Amino acid sequence: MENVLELTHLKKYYGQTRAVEDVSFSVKPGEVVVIIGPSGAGKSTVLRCINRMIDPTEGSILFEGTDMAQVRRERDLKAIRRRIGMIFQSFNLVYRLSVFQNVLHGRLGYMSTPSAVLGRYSEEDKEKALDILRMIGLEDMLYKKAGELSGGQKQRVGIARALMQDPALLLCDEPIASLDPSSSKIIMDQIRDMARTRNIGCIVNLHQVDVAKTYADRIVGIHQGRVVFDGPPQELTNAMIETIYDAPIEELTVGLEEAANG
Amino acid sequence: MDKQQRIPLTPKKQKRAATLTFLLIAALFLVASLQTQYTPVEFLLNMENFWSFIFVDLLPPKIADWETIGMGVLQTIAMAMVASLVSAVISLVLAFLGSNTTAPWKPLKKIIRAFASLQRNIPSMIWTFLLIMSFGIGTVVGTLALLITTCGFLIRSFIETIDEVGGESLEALQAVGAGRLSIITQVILPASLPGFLSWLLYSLEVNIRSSTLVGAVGGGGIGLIMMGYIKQFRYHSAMGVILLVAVIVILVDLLTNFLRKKVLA
Amino acid sequence: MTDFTEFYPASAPAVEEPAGKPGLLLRDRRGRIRVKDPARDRALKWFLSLFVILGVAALFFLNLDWAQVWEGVLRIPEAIGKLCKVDFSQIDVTFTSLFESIAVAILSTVYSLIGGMVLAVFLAKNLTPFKGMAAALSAVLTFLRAIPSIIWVLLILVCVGFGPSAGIIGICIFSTSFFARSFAQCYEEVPQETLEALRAMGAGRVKVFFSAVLPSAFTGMLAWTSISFESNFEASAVLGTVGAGGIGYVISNCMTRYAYGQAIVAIALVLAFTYAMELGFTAIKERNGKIG
Repeated sequence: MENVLELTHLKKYYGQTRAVEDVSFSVKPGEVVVIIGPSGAGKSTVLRCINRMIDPTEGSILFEGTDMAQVRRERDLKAIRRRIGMIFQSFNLVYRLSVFQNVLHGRLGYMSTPSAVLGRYSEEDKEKALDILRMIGLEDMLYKKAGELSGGQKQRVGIARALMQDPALLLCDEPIASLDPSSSKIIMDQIRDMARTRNIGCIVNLHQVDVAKTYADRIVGIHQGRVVFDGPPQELTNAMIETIYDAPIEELTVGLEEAANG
Repeated sequence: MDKQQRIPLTPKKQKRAATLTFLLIAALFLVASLQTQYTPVEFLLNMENFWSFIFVDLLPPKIADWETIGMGVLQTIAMAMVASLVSAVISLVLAFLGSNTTAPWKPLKKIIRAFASLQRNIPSMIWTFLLIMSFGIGTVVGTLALLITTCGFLIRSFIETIDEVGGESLEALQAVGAGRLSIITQVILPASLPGFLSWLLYSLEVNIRSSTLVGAVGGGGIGLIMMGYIKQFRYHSAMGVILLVAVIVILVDLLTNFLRKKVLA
Repeated sequence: MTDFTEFYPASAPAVEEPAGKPGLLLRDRRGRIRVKDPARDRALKWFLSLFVILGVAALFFLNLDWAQVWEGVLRIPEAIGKLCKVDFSQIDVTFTSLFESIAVAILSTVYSLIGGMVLAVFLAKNLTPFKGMAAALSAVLTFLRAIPSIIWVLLILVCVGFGPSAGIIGICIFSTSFFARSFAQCYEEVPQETLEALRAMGAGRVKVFFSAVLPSAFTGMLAWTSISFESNFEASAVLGTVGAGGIGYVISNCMTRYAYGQAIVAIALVLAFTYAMELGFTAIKERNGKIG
């Protein structure tokens, strides 16, 4: 199958600090790729380079045939960004607005400027949003303010917003880092299901190795800005994990089992 | 007890800071007392004068001319309302141009911020004087003086609010590919609305107070009337006006507190 | 287009959440689906529209003379030109008056600090010896605070005559009331358990106050003091304009004599001092933050 995303030799330097040294990997439609690595390894930077929230220093980002790194015009960038959904650790919703409005925000990139500014969403978009909310189990919360929801529910709104974009690629930046184990399971299940059923390529940053092993089709291990592992979860050995994290395996898995299995 | 065995009740650093502050205040106090030759003793010795002034000259308060005073009160309140409303509209636009998260053009942002922080140090009464130079005495000057000070204050507070609420949700909407203008109307504006309104209410409180003062130096309204009474030695009438001002200020504070709890909760 | 309300409840999956109720979906008059519940923001909308209506009404009521406004605007360049002819000839008097204004601000802050500290003990709910007295005191102080300090100065001026005394006493009236309320808040933040524990150990009220309440409220009190000093200086800088002394008198005097070049020097001095003061307080707050 054709790759939806291909990263080759991605680099990001902040002056002398090398956030991302050399990262190359690719993602197929419907595939869940989990990036693991210690905090500060550059996982978050890689993700934000892909949709150009951060400008990479070097390397190419081939998304659906276009090199994202070469896009210069603001308008072209926006047109590509709307095909890439993003899910955040801290949900990044507008808490004063209704759940419905937050989900509809996913369509803003597709709308003409006047209707986007006035927030006039088409009936088609609204029903699409209802469909997604129903699928994700939040139809009762439609008119609640996003700030009134629980953490897990907020993240589901985040997923719904990303799905509204009809994305070809989903970037998830530590989606379960601020959630309790049972909500974490729901979120990870939903992300995987959406990727499979809608054929969306999916990149998830995680720091929990066991969760990564349960949900990933492929795991990419990043250590000090370099890819040190790229392969299916069953090939990820304990020795490899210790290399990635620079720490003994016992320190890495404590208390995380139930998140993946429970 | 030996000095070394004593256990300090407060951390040493904090104690030293407190001592330093105290010494500094004491020194300033001495210098200032010498400079002004003021001692409270003088005032306490003249207490008799003071009480007789309050109970003979000021009390009972008298409202001499209901019609004039009523008009003055309305003018003062209207000045405060207009200043708050108009400067809220102006500040809203300028705050979006001056906030770190939304500013489209850097030099303009710097100019707006410089204006707003300069404002902080110029009292509205000084503005009144400067404005009288070109506008003459009257409500125009009073309103404009309030307007300028309120603008400075509201721009600062609005920018703070925008920067606070922006950040994360802004990032999400940029990732969606939304345009700058739609991010402002769909995300930042609704999210900062309660903050904006709370500052607006506060500015109304402040303006009710300062519109009296601005009036006293030539801005019209109840302040000018009160100043007139004092200059004519009609202290009973002046006291009546002052009490009226106090009642209005207290009522407005109660109202804004009520609105904060009811509307912005 | 499909009518959503009809098949909506039927098609809702019963996996995680119970199926949605049919009446859940709100539509506007034209049958379009609403994206938010209008009832939730009704109070806000009412308030906003009322504010705008009242503001516009006030604008009409003021009946501003727009011709006068326009003429005034045209005269602004001329006024700026006059102000730009900076004149340092009165600089010694200006400096003396600035120091007087600063001194008035310092003295009124210190006196009202002491007064406020004492009054706050009677005002704070956890310290006051008589509950009824706290309420009465609070009412009186609210009244004193409702009247701007300049007006107090105006009144005292009549009583004690021209000079710094009027300024100090007048500002003190306002500022004491301000300190009393804010310090009372600081005192009330001291946990009740601490006070009870100390009282149980047999410490008297005065002892408890000095050994427990004052130290723990210190940082908060410092912040209030800086705020109060700033506003007291502002008041003492402008009180000259209503007839008391200080830099305000220089400014208003220059203005009435059309000596705009001298006035602008005085205004610039006020600005410079308030700015320096702001920098100083920010520095103190930052250092204090590190200690605390």
